[in-house]
Amino acid sequence: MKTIQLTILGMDCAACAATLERVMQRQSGVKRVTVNYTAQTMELIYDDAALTLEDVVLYVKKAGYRVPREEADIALASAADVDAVKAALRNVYGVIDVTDRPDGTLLVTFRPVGVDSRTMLSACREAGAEAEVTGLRAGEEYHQLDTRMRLFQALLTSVGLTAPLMLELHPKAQFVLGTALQFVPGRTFHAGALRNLRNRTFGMDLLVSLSSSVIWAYSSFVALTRKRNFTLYFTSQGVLLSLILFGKYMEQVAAGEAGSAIRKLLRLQPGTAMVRKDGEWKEMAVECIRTGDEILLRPGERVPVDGVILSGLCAVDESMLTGESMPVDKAEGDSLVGGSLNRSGFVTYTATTLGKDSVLARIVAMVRQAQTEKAPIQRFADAVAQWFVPGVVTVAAGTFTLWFFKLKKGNLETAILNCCDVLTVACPCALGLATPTALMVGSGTGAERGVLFKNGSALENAWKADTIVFDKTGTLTLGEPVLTDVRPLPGVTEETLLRLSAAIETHSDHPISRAVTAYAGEHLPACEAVEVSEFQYLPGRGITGVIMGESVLCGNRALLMERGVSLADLDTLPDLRKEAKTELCVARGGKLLGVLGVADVLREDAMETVAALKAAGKELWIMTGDHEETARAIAAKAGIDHVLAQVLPEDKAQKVRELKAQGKTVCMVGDGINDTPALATADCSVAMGTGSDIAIESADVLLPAGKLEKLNEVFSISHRTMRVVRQNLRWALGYNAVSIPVAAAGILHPSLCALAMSASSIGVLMNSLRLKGTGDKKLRRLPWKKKHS
Amino acid sequence: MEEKAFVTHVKGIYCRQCAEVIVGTMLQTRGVLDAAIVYLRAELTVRYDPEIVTEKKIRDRLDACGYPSCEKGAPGSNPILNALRHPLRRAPGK
Repeated sequence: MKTIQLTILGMDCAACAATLERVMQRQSGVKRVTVNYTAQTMELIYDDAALTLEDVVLYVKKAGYRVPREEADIALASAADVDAVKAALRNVYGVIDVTDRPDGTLLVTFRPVGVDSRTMLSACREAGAEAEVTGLRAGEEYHQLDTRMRLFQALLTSVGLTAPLMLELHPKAQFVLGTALQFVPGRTFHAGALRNLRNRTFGMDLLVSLSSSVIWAYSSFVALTRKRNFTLYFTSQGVLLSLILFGKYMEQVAAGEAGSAIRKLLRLQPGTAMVRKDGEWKEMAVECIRTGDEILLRPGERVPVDGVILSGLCAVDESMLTGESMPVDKAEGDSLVGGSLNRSGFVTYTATTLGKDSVLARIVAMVRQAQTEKAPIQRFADAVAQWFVPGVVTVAAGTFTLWFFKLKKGNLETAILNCCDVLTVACPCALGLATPTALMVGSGTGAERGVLFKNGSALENAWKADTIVFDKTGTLTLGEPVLTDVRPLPGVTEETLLRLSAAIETHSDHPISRAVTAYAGEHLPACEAVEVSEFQYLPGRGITGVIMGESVLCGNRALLMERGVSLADLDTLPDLRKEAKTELCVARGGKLLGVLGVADVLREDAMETVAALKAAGKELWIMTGDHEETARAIAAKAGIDHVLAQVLPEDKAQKVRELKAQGKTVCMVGDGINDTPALATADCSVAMGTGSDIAIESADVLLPAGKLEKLNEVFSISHRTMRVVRQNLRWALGYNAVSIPVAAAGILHPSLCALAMSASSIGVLMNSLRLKGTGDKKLRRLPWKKKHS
Repeated sequence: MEEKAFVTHVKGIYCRQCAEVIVGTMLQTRGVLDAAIVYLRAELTVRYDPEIVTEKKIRDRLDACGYPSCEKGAPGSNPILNALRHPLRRAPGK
């Protein structure tokens, strides 16, 4: 089985997507197929033992659409074995042919299945030749531009031919212009209609083609036979075609706009980078970078490829990933994400992941996936769309019969006009566009703000959740202990207590020790390191050592009792254990000095998020394997009411199921491997990007930055998107329900009908694009937008 | 880390592709933090770090990529008029 994503051209309307889907589904060897009209792509799972890619292309062609060929020019750097390179390139999946050019370059033609310059170059390299891609005529933008240009040309021709019709020309001249209109700009519709008839699925093309042909045939008949007292409708026909072409052109423009958020992400990666080659820094194309190459990053530059810092310090703006424009400090050993922006500092780093495996490419692929997959709500629209066109044709025929035989007996003109009005005004496209455009803009906006929806149903269902279950460690809390309390006994200063414990804890790598040293490093002025001898680590109890001749203990009560230190003074201090903190008693020379409290603290944004979610009326739960008391303490601090403590990892899913059985729609938020079953069970699952890979895999929604506050946005984006989808569907259905009877009554002029039909589908698109602008004003990234808030 | 922004109009925009090309070029200019363009007004907003790049350098970069910056309403800064004047002209790179 092989999964591919192909670009499909020639789809004029959302109904085409359904047609192609049905035709492909019928072919043997095809397992699953999803076609997205807005993105002009088809996702196909097929048996590569039974079918070749060219077979698939042939099937698509038979259905009446086309899979474009893309081209690339490759220049070979050195005198390489050209035949070997050609053979290697031909073996790349998707490549159709490789030919020589007179100027020595190679021309590669390939199918749009995600072949990029990197795959081709690596094939060349395997064949032993360094190469460079000098020209690439491929990609979504290239095809979109192509379609748009064709439409624009058709529109101009149509307008050019219609304009003279506005003058009172001789009937024969009108006939010539009208015929030209019918067969030059109008031919796309007729071709589409034929395609529809052949596949027995009916789209907008059939309606437009029928109505323009009927008007043309009637007017031609009149123009060529009658001598006086007649009206011609060639003008109406021209206006109808022009307006619909204009509508389609605008639709193309708006569809391009809908995907612009994702395209901007792809543009973030720079084209070249400074790479160390034979000890020298050289500027190289990003495609030529290999794993393990050493790259220099200067302030103000964007990170060319993912990697790990070798040396240097820098502050990186990762807003494209997280939606947060505050730069993050990075040092040796930290990872850099391609496309993020280095605000200050020089660093050198090694490239780790490239091309399709890079973080940016994976984000884009994930969002594309979400856009291609159908949300459940779309099935309803698809079902309606399938019966829509045959229904409209029937109504049109009925209108004709009614006018011709009943209302105005024998008046062919009125009957034909009213029948054409019905055909023109009906708009199956608005219905087809309602869901996909909104989902596309919604998921794009999400990606921009640091919320990744992995599929359409996640976007549809997230806001319905009324119960949110949080995992404790790593989700609500930082997952790493932090020093929270310093409680010296009377007569001891905080500084002494901290210095002593920090000096001794530096020698251990235990999380608690790290918490102590980190706190001391931040809060104490730097001073010379104190020498510690006879350092000893006692697992489960603490650490001991000798500083300046005196023995120092740092550990729990058991350790101190063991060493004969009196714990009587401890009662004068508050018991930190009741607050779910780990107690760290410090003693010197057999005398207790005080205690330090270490705890896994809440994330900074936890309380705010919880308050906002509560205000939104959600029921909040905390689920953890920890003790009841610890869990309660954290829950109380965060403001969460319900606690599920001491839940074993394997029982987490069961608890979620129990909540679901109570009729709740559960959203699970987690980050660890132990949360995975629960994430899979919940109605909607959110994973922290900082968590384990398996949790990220199994969740529906991903917060790449691991910021809890984005949780509110998950619900608000989902809610707004679905509201727009419902508005779109309501508008599309309502429009048709009102306009068809009005047209049948013969009140509207044919041109007005064309205008109304175009306006309705553009209206749906515009409504979807509204999603781009909305959002929490606080989180808007551009400063000039902030001025207005 | 300072931040500055300026707004300029650009000449020679014809279709939306041009707009995206400009944004792409800006984003890959060293020191530019963000760029956004309003196609119909040919109005480009660039946010940049003045410690690394100057406004002049950014404008030079615009000139170099074939879309010189200009005053509002300067000839050639109306995308619609440009498109009408060269209806069949292809976008750069074609």
